[in-house]
Amino acid sequence: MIQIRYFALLLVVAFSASQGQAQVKKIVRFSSYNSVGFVAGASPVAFAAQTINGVELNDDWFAGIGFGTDNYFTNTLPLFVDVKKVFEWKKIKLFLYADGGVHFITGISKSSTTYSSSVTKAREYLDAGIGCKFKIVSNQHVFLSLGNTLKTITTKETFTYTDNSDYYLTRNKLSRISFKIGYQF
Amino acid sequence: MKITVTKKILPLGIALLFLLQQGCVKDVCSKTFTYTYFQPLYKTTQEVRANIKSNAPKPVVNPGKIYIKGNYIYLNEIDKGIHIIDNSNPATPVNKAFIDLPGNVDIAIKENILYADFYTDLVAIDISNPLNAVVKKYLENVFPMRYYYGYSVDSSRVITDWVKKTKTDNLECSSGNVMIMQGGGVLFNAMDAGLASAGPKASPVGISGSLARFALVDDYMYSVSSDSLKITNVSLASNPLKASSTWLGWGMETIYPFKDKLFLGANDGMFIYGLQNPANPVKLGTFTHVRSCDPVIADDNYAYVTLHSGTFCQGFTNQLEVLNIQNILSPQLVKTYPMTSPSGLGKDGNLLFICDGKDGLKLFNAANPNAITLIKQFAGVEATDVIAWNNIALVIATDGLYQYDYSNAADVKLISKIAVEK
Repeated sequence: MIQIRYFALLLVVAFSASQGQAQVKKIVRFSSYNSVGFVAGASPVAFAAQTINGVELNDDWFAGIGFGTDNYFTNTLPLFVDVKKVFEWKKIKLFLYADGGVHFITGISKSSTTYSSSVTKAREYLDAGIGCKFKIVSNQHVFLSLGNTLKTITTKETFTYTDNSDYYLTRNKLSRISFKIGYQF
Repeated sequence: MKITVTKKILPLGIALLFLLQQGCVKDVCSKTFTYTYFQPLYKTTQEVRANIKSNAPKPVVNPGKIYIKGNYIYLNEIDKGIHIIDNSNPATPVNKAFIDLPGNVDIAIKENILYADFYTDLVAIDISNPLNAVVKKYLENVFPMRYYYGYSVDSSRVITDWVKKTKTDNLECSSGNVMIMQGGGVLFNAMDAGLASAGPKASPVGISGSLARFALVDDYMYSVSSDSLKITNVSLASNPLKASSTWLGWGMETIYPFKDKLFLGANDGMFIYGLQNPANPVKLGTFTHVRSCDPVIADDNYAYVTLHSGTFCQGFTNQLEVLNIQNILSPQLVKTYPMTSPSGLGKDGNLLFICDGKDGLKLFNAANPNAITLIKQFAGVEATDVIAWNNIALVIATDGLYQYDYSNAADVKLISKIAVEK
């Protein structure tokens, strides 16, 4: 269900981005969003940082590839696609964003004992939220965002004591609030 | 042109707020345990007993212990029964019949009577005509250790087969990850199933491999469980009688009779019992070693013990030990030889066959126990036990029953194979 919500938001952003495109002259340029922040949930608050690089169209929508670090629960490195829709409200630039991708365990992901072996894998990574950005100079902004991010981590412990390959599978779906502050150019 | 807050944008904000609200912040943990187990299929004792006879041959699927008597090979199909193979011509063995005998892992033959375990019971079967085997007697509760935990002892029903099942249970994330013996099923004990077959001995009995747990000497049959020696009086072969039971200590694995002695392989050593009083064997000597699985065979002067490691065997030792048993009260280590994962072994004269796991079957010249030398290695044959007799090495392997002609030790030849059906 959580994934469906993120997907729905992605559609909303994409749909919104498509509005009015026919009315404007297309201006495409490279853009980069770089942020630090934190993620907070049921587990202790953790540091997070990202860099997202892509193209911006007419200063009102953006699509790019993001990479970062997310230290919540266990440190992982997200790799994702990001879509943003920018709009103005009372001279303030607001944006909706939606991210979807995968992430990677940075620490030890495999271990074994005499009787069992354990493999930890990072699964999907999703993030969606709203932000605002403030112009510094032309095409350069500082931005803040608040969102809801999800990452899933599974651990499979397989018993080697028998030939039956019995295993435990633990799945942690970590839904958090993400707060980011960053610089966009 | 920038899009301003309009009726188009407002729903987006509402949607976003809804999504964020729904997303909430929580760590959701789910945990499952997926396992396979074996569920028993039952038949009534009456039905099963009625079918303990020479039935149509069946393919070899999970071979256990082997026994030779006359021109026939009796090959245990673990927990299922006994294949009867006409080996009049070792080059063309013919699978002739199958005795359905649930719970069977061990066999021994005296005269024309085949003794076999039938779960906790011992059954005596007349094989005067192997193709028309007839049960002569059931001796109940001889092997109480063959009771499967988790199933009530119900004399009216017998487990005839096991169905492999896979199940996934949902668990609390806080529960620990431990090995679970699930109720309603059994995880087979590979050691019970795998150790099977014995060597040349005395009396008008057949020949078994080195992994046997049954041994026949004159009027008695000796069988080892993990902790005791059961003695059955078979002076009248067709009418076995319970004689006695002796506690041996834990870890007993195999039994090998030689003349008036029994050599017991245990996971912490080799024990020699004297049969001066056959009804009451007395421990004569002991040789202890590191914890390991270790079948043993012997001749007049030396005992040969293979030690191998593994989950059930514990330990980390894989070697052949040669023991001097000329002083039976105090066996002395002569020499050890490194191996890969040795299990069954057999000896005929100076030729020593060792089943060495994935390294295959190895043939050694054991004329000098201090300098045993490899003659030939048969790679690709993951052998578990061997009977070397009358210039034919009968080898049970994971993929079939092999027969080698070793009449010329320098040119040992594979003469036949009955393949295991996958």
